[in-house]
Amino acid sequence: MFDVGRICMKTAGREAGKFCVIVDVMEGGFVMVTGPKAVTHVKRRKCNVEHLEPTPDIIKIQKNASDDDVIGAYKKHGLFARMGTSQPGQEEIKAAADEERKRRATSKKAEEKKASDEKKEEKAAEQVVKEELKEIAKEEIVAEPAPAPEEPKKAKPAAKPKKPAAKKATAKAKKEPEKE
Amino acid sequence: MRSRSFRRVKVGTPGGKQVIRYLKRRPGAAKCGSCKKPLSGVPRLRPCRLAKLPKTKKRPERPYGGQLCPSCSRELFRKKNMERWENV
Repeated sequence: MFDVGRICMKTAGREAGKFCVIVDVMEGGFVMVTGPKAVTHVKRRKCNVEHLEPTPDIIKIQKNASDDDVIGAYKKHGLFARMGTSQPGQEEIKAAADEERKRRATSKKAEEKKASDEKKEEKAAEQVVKEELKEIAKEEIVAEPAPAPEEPKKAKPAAKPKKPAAKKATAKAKKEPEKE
Repeated sequence: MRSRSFRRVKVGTPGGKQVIRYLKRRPGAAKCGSCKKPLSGVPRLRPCRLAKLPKTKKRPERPYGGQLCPSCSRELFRKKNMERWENV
């Protein structure tokens, strides 16, 4: 019943009582629907099948057809009169398209801003972690030499414990970022 | 004033006392035009308070919002759809 090209009436929400076409079928009982907005004031949006009432009419359109294609199909099938709407003028179509473009542009800008902000935050967080690790490594290296004076007879083994400590610190530095 | 035509609201004063204030009663809940069920999304306020609210807070956004309940409005749209396509 709810296939691509089926004309439906919306029965819920602010667009209730208005006609739309199914443009795409999605998982979980959802479909992509469009008026288009210039024709019936139904925005291109995802919609639950339970909020749609099918009509006997089907138009031939491709999956994810553009609004212009849908309007062309309406013309072919002579559906404007049956849906109780008139064919939209060029100005109306343009106005609707402009609105959509503006909305997309603003949302894109917002997304880009968000992405850049997140990157900056990540970098800052990484730097903070690095600095902290450096400090920890320093402290460990400073703390390690303490046992050295206990064995003052051999100079070589006293020097050795420093290196494993440094290695441990680096190993920790490698492990900790993974956890975060 | 002391009759029960006014509702009594206990109000705490800044001095720590509890005082009774007499306010006019609120109107009953708005009801669906066809099934008479109380509507949600329509505030129970005196008209003077209602006038201060924005339009979107006074009723649901859907057509017949604040007049019909969602299930009744859905049925109505379904019927309208059927009639329309039968007639044409």
